[in-house]
This record gives sequence, structure tokens and C-alpha cells, in this order.
Amino acid sequence: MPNQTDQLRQSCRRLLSEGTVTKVIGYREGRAPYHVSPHFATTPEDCDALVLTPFCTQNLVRYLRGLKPEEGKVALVVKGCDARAVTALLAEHQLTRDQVYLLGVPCEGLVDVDKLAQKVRLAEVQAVRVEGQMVLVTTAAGEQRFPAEDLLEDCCRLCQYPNPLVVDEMLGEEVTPRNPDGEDAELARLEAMSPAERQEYFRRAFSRCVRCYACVRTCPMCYCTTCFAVQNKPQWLPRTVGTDENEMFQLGRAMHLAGRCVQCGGCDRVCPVNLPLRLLNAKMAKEVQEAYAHVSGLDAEKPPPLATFDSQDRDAGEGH
Amino acid sequence: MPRTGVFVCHCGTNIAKSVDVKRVAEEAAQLPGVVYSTDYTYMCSGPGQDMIQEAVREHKLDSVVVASCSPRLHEPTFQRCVEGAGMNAYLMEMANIREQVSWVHGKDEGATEKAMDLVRSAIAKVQHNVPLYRQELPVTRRAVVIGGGIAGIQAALDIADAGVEVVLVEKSPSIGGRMAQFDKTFPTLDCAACILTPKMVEVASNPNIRLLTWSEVEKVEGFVGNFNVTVRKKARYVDVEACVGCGECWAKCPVKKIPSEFNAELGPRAAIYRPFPQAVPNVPVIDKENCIYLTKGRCGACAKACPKQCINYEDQDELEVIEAGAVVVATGFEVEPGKLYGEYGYGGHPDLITGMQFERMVNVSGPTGGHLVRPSTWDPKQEEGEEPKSVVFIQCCGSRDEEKGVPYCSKVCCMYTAKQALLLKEKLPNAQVYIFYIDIRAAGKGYEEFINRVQDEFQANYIRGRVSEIVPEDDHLLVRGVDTLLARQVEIDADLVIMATPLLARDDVQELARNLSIQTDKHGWITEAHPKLRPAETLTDGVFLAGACIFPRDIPESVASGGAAAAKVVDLLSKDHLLSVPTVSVIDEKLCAGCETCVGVCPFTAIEMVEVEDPRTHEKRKIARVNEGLCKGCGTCAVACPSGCPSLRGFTDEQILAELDALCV
Repeated sequence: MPNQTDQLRQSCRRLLSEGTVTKVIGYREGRAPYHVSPHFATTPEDCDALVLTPFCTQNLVRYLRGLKPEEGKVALVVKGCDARAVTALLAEHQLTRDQVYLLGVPCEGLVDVDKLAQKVRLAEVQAVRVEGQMVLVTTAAGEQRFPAEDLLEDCCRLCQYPNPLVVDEMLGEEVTPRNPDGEDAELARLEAMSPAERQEYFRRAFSRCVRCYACVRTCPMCYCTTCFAVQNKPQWLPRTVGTDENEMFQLGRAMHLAGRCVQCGGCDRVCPVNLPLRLLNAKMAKEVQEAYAHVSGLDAEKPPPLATFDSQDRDAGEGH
Repeated sequence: MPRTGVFVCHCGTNIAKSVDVKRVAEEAAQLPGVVYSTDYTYMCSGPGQDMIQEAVREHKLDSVVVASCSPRLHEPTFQRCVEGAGMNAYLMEMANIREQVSWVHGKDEGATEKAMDLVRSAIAKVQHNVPLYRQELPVTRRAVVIGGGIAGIQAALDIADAGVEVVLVEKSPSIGGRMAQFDKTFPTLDCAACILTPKMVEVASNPNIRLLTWSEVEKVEGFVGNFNVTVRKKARYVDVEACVGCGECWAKCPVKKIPSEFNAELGPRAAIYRPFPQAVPNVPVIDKENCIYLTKGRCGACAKACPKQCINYEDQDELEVIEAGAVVVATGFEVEPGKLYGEYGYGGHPDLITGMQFERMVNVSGPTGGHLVRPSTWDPKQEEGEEPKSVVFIQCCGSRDEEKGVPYCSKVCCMYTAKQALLLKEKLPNAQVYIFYIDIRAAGKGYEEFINRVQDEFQANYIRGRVSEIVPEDDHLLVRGVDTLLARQVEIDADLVIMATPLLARDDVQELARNLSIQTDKHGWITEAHPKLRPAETLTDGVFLAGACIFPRDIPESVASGGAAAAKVVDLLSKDHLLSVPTVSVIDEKLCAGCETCVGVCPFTAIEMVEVEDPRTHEKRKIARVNEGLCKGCGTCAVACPSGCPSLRGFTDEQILAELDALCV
């Protein structure tokens, strides 16, 4: 993405020098070629550090939380999923559109570092780029090509909306969605299970949860001032880490995200014990879509269906 | 340590027959914090309540559990009882060991154990209760009655007679409603207009009633005692104050062929029209869709004809906000227009009419001047037509037919069909009358006798069975049906066929119901607060019901319900102030993230967003706040909020969890 990076730096320098925004939130190089860190640019000079790589995983929308009007307009680098998160937050009145300047990046997908590590020695990686159906990895030994299918993050492999739907400025050409029809073989396998098998599948997974709450901390849609999981009065969840409590936490969180999750895959990525969180949230999203024809993050005017009352709503008891 | 008292009621043998009440009381006494526990035959009786009050004083109780019936029945009783002993009413909890235990479980089915569980749970809850206090709310001493049919008229008159101001809002140009369309009323055969007109005139002349005809309620905001009702006063194009109803305008109007709504489309009206001669107010309206001046900008015949210059083509709709303490919904019903049975072919033959059209035809002020004729032969110029010799009435033309979406009985058709048969035979004694019916439902004072009279004295032929089809043959209608009593096919050559079509809920009532936060059933009829014990009330405080908006009703029932609604309104508005119910939602402002989920799910629009400033940091943020007057304490917000900011007073998370812990642990 060198061209995109140049374009991004140029735009950000302009935005800051013209005073359109007070701050740019983007990415800069991280500790390795397969890592980036969030970057906050407040002067045109700061913009030279901005980068775009297939490792721009951190969902920067998190940084908009608590953004105050007096801080002025903030520019934000958004991929397709990030832009959906912004739209979903607009629908939930957590932001107003004039607080953010969205720099849209059509996204070819992010490379999963764990998957990459299985193909090459990470220490030897010099650069990685995604080109259509291939991922090109440069090492000292030269360039290696791998099918994108094998190296991309799950949510990127299955992404329906790689192009930001709402932007103030688009950087680069739009890309073709990898999965325009939203097909999901993993989800189909999950749905083929009997309810008992499905419960067993999730219970086994949740038994690994260490309740680090990294999923809560990374999720762009988790903005409660105090999460129900850590409330003391009443204490919904005992502090002990056991399968029952973990299940209550994970299912409670899935319910809270139903119709709101934008499938950015953040939770999957940060989970230290690899819980199938993307899958769980994808299942909830599908349920909501089927029941209420609602897809989160597409329309800033539409609040999540589970947060609305309409006397004309279909009675859940009738249709299911 | 709490000091809880437990009072277990036998309810005669209602509870005691399957619950060992003595054991429940004894075991309750062993629970933590219970300092007194007893049982008694009737806790709700005078001695029972004395016993509670005495125990509260003697044992210095700070909380009370009454194990008896449903709180729906006696919560107010026992709340008053403990208040009488100096306790806060909300420190009393009921354990329902009647409806939820003894009425559904036998002695051998663990009834006593379940009663014990419920009592233990109620004790756990009450020990987490805190005193709650009712707030005083102001009251506007004015009522709005929506709908000017007989029910609305009666309600308005009764409220006005009690000295309370009423605004009566009617959608059509005149009050009178359906009753004004009827000829005579069953079973006494009073002329409908003769008994209705004086009441209509009284409405117009009563100083406490303000009449807004040709007006519609657009929006209702606020809460009991403090509603703001927005009324759209539609442009009438005629000066209501100046007009005397002389009729020069509609005589000169060149547009004369518009089907008259009042005459059930059996006769025409002009573009400027007064629906019927006894209309109140006696002032016409201009139908803006059909008026030549208003559509094409030329004509002006009515303005030229008017001797008092009442016509104003520039008239505009006006919105007025009326402050009121109570609202009466008396919006009535619709008559199905005859389209449910395609095999009858309504609309294809002028001699196939509906019951409402028959009412208009038999009425002297109707389209035929009271001549009973075959509509196909009616000559309006000569004012004559051929009299029918063979007449078929068909009851249940849609009613009691699940297939047609009307599984219910429309209640009035058996009686009005009999009445119409009688009126017909009075005018045309030689005509043959056949009435197809499924069952005859004549439950009412003098109703059964009336049916008998129509059968015996007026010789109407009642045929038990249904009509399968109506086929036009030459100039008459061939009615094919079945007589199920004689088990044979029937064919009748009819000159005139009258269908008793179902009574339906009005389509437009749905929007009004949403506006008022009141419920409708699956057929669109408005739901009462309780079908037996609160038939004139809704679940929205301050909104009352009258007439057939609830379900088909005849005139006496509508009048009675109008009076009932009026009594409720007067009772409500006679108070200097109202007391709020404290068991409403309250939002923990510190926890609130301002996502507006609660605003979206609240069925009573009781939550609004407000901006608050942190006293320490002076940071401003938006949070949700509950309007306690509007909140009904349904708890939807408490469930929907992801971080649990709303809590329902009297049903807080701590209280519910304490109950659950006591049940499950």
C-alpha cells in the first residue's frame, strides 16, 4: 500500500495544516514488520510516521470513546469494518458525524500473524502485502506467494463490506468484496449441530476463558461505563473463573452485541485462548438479520432492533 | 437485623384445603429476621387486618409479608393496612399462595412446600425493600372526549353535568355517529333520531361542552391529569358561527352526484353538504376533493348563494393543543362494506344491499324518503320504485367466520335483522320475508320476546342455514342456500337481499391507540384494563373507554359505558392533585452511557435525554431521565439496558435477586 500511504500522509498534512482537524488517529510502524501501533498526529510533521500495512489491526474507533466537542474534529483512518463501527456508534448516539473526519481505506484484508508464522519464520519477514487473491511475503530469501485464503484473518476472508460505506475522503480505489454473499462455512457447520451439540461446543470453548476482558476492551461497540460483568451491586457474575460464570459472561456479552456487532474480528484477534467469538457474534448477527432485516453499521439512522419498541414488531413467538 | 412479620391466610378453605397453613407459618418463624409469624382464616377481613396492625405495633415490625391471594386483588388492601399501623406501604410484600399454589396444586402435589418457597422468597425480598413515597401531581380539570357517537355524547354530557369542562372532538361534520343513521331501535322501536336529537342539541347548548366537529386528534402527549391533546381542526370552508344552515348553498352546488357517506352510499350528496337534517352543528362542510372551486379555481356557486357570506375558500386546517386531565376514547366501529363473500356478488347488483343501507332506505329522511323499494327500480325524479315482494335477509355475512378473519359474533345483527324484517312487514305486509341465520342470539331485556314477535306476528320465515351463492337471474336475485333443520337445499327468488355484515374495529383507531399508549387486540378492538372489573379504563392512567370501540355493543350498552367512563373521569378530576405510583423506573446517572436504548424500547415514551454537567469536572454529557408521570413501571428499560442503569423502584435487581436466591438456594 505505498501509494495509499503517501496519499494518506498528504491528506493528513493538509487536514492538520488547514486546521480542518485537530488530530489524526492512524497507524505507525510497530516493533516488527508484521506489527503496527496506533499513531496520534497533531502536527503536519507527525504525519510522516503514518503507515498502512496489512497488519493495521487495532480498531481505532475505540479512541473516539468520550471524544468531547471541545476537542474539535478528529480525523480517523477507517477500513470497511471500522467505518461500520462508526456508523453503528452514530446510530447509538455515541458520536455525531461532525466530530469525525473519516479517511476511508478500501481494505484487501488483514494478514493473520499466527497463520503467517506457520508459513515463514516471522523473524525473517521484511514486508508483506496483499494483492487480490495472493499474499506476497518478502524475506531475505526473496518473495514468497501464498493464497490469501490461507493467510488472511477469518473476518477478512469472509468480509462483505471491505470498502468504507461512509467517508469524507477515500484513499485509493475500491476493492472487490471477497465474500459478497456473506457465505460462512464455519457458521454453516455450527448451525448444522443440534442445540445440545452447539451448547457443548460453546461450553467447552468457554471453559478456556480466563475472563481477561480483552474482548470488551477492544470491541468498538463496548462503551458501557461499567460492564455488567464487573458490576458489584448487584454482582451479576461471581469473580471466580469457572465454566458457568464464563458462559454467563460470554453469552451475556453476545446478547448485548446482537444486532450491534460489526464483525471487525477484534475480539477473535485479541483473545489469548482463541475462543470462537467471531463465530458466536456472526451467529447472533445472522439471527437478528433474519428476524428484523437489520445489519449493523449500514445505516446511522437505524438504531439496533433490540433497542427499539414498535407495536408493529413481529411477535417473536409467532415466527420462530 | 430486620424485624419481619409473616401473616398466612387460609382464605376460608381456598388456601387451607391444600396448603398446611399452620406449618407454613411455623417454618416461616424460623427464618432469619422473622420475629412474628401467624395464620388466620381471612387476613383481608376486619379482624385479620387488626391482627396485622396490632402485631406491627407490638413487635415493632419493620416489614410485613402477607401470604394470601394475588397482589392484583389485595395489595392495596394490605398496603393501607400497614400504613394504618405507621409503616410505609412498600415495606409490605405479598406471597401469592392462592392463585399460584392452592388453586393449581393439590395437597399431595407439594402445595405446602411451594407455598413455603414463595413465602421464603417474599421474606427475602421484603428485607431488601426501602420505603417509597408517592408524589403529588397537578390535575387539569378538563376532559377530552374523542368521538361524538351516542357513547361519546353520553360521556360528554355526564362529565359536563358534573361541572367539568369537556371538549368533544368529532371527525365527521356532525355528532350523532352511527345511531343517527338508524331508523328505529330494537326492541322498543323508538325512533333513533327522536331519542338521539335532544341529546345532540343538549351537547351544543351545554356551557361546559366545547364541540369540535370536523376535527381529529393528531397527537396526545403527557400523562394522567396533564395531557396535551393536539387537535387538527380541518378546514370547513364555512363559518360555523355565522351559518344558520339555511341550505341555499347545497341547493345551488352543481356537484350533486357524490355518494353520501351518511346514506351508506345509497343516495347522492352535493360537494357542500350537511350530512343529515338534524346535524349538530347545523352547518355544512365543503368536500375539498370534489368542490369545483377548490379543485379548479372556478364556480363559487355556494358563495354566491349564501345570504350571510359564510363561505370562505381560503380556510386552512388549524392545530390546537388542548390541556386535559383525562381522555375518553369513544371512537366506535366500522361496518364491513359487504365484500367478504365474493359469491354473493355485492356491488354487482343494486338490489343486494347491506343492513346499514336498509336502515337509510327505510328512514323518512333517507335517499328514498322512506319508500321501501328495489333500489334497481328507484326513480329519484318521480320518487317512486317497485316494491319488493320477496325479501331475503342473510345474517352472519362474515361474522363468526374464522376464514374471513371475523371469528367473533357481531352481537347486534340478530336483533337489527329482526327489527328490519318487522319494519319491512309493517310497510309491506304482503311481502315474503326470509331470514337465513346460524343461531339466534337475543340475550337482552325484551330481546327474545321481540324475535318471537317477528316470527309469529310478522311471519318472518327463519331458515337455519347459510347462503352459498346469489345469482342474478332476469331482474331478480336467485338465492341458493341450505336449510339445515330440514336438511335440504333452498332456492328463493328474491327482489331484495339484505346482508348483515360484521362490525369491525376502525382502521384509524390503531394510530390513536399508539398515540395514547393503549392496546388493541388482534382484531383491532381496544383492550380494557380488565375485561370484567375495569371495563371503562385502559392501562394508561387517565384514558377511559366508552361505546363500541372495545367491541360491538348495542345502544343501551354504549350509553351505559359512556356514563361509566364519565363517572371515572369525574372521580379522577374531582381530586385537587393526584398521587403518583412510586414503583417506577429510575436511572443511575453515573452508569448511563447515553446509548438511548431505553428511550427506544419504552412503550410509554417516558424516557427523555437530558444534558447534565459533572459537578467536579464540569464536563457535559447526555443521559437518560425518566418522567415519573409517564412511566408505568413495566421494567422494559431495566431489562434492555446493557449496563443495568435503570432500576425499577420496588423491583430492583437486588430485590429480585434476593427473591431468586431464596427460591433457588
